[in-house]
Amino acid sequence: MTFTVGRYCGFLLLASLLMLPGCGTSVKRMDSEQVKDLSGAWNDTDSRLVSEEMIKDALARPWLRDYTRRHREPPAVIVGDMRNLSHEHINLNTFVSDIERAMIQSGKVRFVASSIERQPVREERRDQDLNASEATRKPMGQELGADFMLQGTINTIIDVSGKTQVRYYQVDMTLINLTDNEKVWIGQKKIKKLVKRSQIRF
Amino acid sequence: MYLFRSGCNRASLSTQLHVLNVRPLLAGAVFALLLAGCAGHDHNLVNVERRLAADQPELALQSLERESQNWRRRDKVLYLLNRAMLLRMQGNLVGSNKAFTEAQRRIDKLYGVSVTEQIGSVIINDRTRAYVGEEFEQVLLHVYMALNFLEMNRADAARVEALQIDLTLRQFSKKIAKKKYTEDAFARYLSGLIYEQQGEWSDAMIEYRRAYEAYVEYQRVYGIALPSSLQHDLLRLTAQLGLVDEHRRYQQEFGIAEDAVDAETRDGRGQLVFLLHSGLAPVKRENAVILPTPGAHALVKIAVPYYQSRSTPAKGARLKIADKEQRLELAEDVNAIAIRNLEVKMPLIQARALSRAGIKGAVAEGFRRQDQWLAALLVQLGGLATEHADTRSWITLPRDIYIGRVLLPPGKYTVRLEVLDRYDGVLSEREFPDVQITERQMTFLSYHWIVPTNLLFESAP
Repeated sequence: MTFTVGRYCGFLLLASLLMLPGCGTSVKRMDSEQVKDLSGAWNDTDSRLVSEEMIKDALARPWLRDYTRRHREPPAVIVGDMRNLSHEHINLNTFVSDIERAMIQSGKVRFVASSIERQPVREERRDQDLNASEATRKPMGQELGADFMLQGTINTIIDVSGKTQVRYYQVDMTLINLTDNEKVWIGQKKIKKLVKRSQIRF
Repeated sequence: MYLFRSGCNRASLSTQLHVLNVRPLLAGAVFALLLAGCAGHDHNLVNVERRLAADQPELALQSLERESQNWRRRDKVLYLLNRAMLLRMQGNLVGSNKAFTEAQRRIDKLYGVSVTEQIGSVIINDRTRAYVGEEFEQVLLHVYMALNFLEMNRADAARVEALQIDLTLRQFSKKIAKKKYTEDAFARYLSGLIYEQQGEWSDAMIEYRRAYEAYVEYQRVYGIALPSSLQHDLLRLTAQLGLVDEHRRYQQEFGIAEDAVDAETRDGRGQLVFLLHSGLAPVKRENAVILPTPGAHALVKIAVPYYQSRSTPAKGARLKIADKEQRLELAEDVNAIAIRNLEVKMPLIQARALSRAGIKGAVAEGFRRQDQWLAALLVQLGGLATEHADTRSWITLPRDIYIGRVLLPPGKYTVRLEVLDRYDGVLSEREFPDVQITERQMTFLSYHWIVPTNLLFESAP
C-alpha cells in the first residue's frame, strides 16, 4: 500500500525541498534611501541617518544665528540626559558623538564636557593643584559654563502580526537654554521599517 | 497532515533503493545508521543538577561547559540559558546578560518552522528539533535579563526588557490560538515596577492591571493568590491617576480600607524589592513503552516526556530589616506553569511519537514482506534505539519566585532572609549587609535558594 502512495509522497518531498531556498527573513525599508538590513534591528545606518538629519537641522535653524549675533561668540552646549525608551538596547552615544563632532568641526558651536566626562578632568585638575608646577597648573573654577543643554529620547512603536512587524523609531532632540529654560530647537527623525520573518526555515 | 506525508516519503525512498537493485540489507543498515546518527545526546545535565543541589554554581557551570561540548548547534539555546542563569547565581550579571542576549538572538533566528526538523521529528525523534525554549522560558529570559539590569542599577536597560516582555507575550497571544500560556503575571508585575521606578505612572498602571488579570487566571489555574503588594500598587496608582471607578472596584474586591492605602507614605522613603528564587524548576524525564505492531511481527517504542517536580520543603520566607518583619509572597509558580504547559502540548507530542512508531514499523514491515529479515531487524533495532522523548528544558530556573516589598527611610541596612517550611520553621537564613536604600528609588535584591541535599531527603513525601 505504501508503495503506491510512495511515488506521490516522493514528489511532495522534492517539491518541499525545492521551495526552501526561496525562504529567509526579509526586511524591506519603507522610507528614505534604500539600504540593506540584516535583522531589522537598530543598526549603524539608522544611527547615521539620525545624526545627519540632526546636524543639518541644528546648524540651519535661527537659534544659532540669533545667539551668535547677540553674543558675538558661538554658543557652548552640554550634552545632558539621553534616554533610551525603545524596546532595544540602543547605544545613543554613537550618534550623539557624531553630532558633537560635526558641530564642533563646523566652528559654529562649542561643546563642553558632559557631567560624566568632566569627572576625571576635575580629578586631574585637583591632582595638578598638588603636583604640577606653578606655570603649568590649571586653576579650578575656570570652566566654561554651557549656554544650552542638549537632551534626547528615542522611542519605538512596534506592531506585530504573525510574521510581519512594523518597527517605528522616533528620535527627539531638544536644545534648552540654560538661562531661561527656553526650548530653542527641537530636532526629530523618524524611521519606519517593515520586517517580515519567514515562517519556514531549512 | 505533513506528519503522514513526510512519513511515507521515507518509506518510498527505501523502496526506490530496492528497485535500483541496491541490496536491501545495505538500505536497512543505512536507515538504521541514519537514525542513530541523528539521535541527540542526553540533555538531563545530571552533574549540573547535583552541583547546584550542593550550592556550587561555579562547579555546576564547569559541568555544563563539559557536558555541552558535544552538543549540536540545535541545542545552543539550551546551553546559553543555563549558562546565563549559572553566571547570574555567581553574581556575574554582565556575563549573564551577554549569554541571555545571545540566546535571544538565536531564538529570533530560529523563528519559523524548519522543514528538515519537522521531518526529523516524525522519523527519528523530537530531539532533532532546534531548542528554542518553551513559551514561558522565552518570557523568563527577559525577566531575568531585566532583573540583572535592575540589580546593576541600569533602570533604562531594564525598561527595554519590560518592552521585550510585552512584545513576546503579545506575539504568543496571536500565535497560540488555544488558551495556553499567553500571559505571565509575574513578568507583567515586574514590568509595572520598572515603569513606576521611572515615574511613568500610566505605563505602570497598564502593566499592574495586566498583572492583576493574569493573577486572576493564575488563581483559577494554579491557585496562586494576588500578591497583597500588587493590591496596594493598584489602589495607589488608581488614586493617583484619578481612576475613581476602578479604584472603588479594587477597594471592594480587596477589602482594604482607604486610610490603609496611604498609611505608608512614599515621600522621603525608598523601597526594597526583594526576590527570592526558591528551589529548581521541574526536569523533563522520559516515559517509554515498547509495543508489538498489530501483526505482532515487530516491536515499536513510544516515548513521551513528562515533568518531574523537584520537591522543596520551602513553603514561604520572611525578611527582617531593622525592626521590621515582612513575609514574602508567592509571585510565580514555575513548577505549575511548566507542568500545565506540557499537558496542553501533550496531544501533539503523542501524535508525533505514534507516527514515528508507525513509520519505523512500516519500513521494517516493508523489508519483512520482501523476506529481507536481517534488514527488517536492523531497521527495527535502529528504531528502538533512537526513539527518545525530548527531555530538554531550562533546568536552572527556580521552582518558585517570591516577592517582598518594604518601604524604608533612606540609609544602609542589613537585610536578613529566612526561608521557612510549612510550619514556619526556619530552613535557612542569610544576611545581606550594606543594602543601600535611596529616597524614592527601588533597590532590587535577589537571592537564589537551592534546596540543599540534606533537606531534600527530609522533604520527600
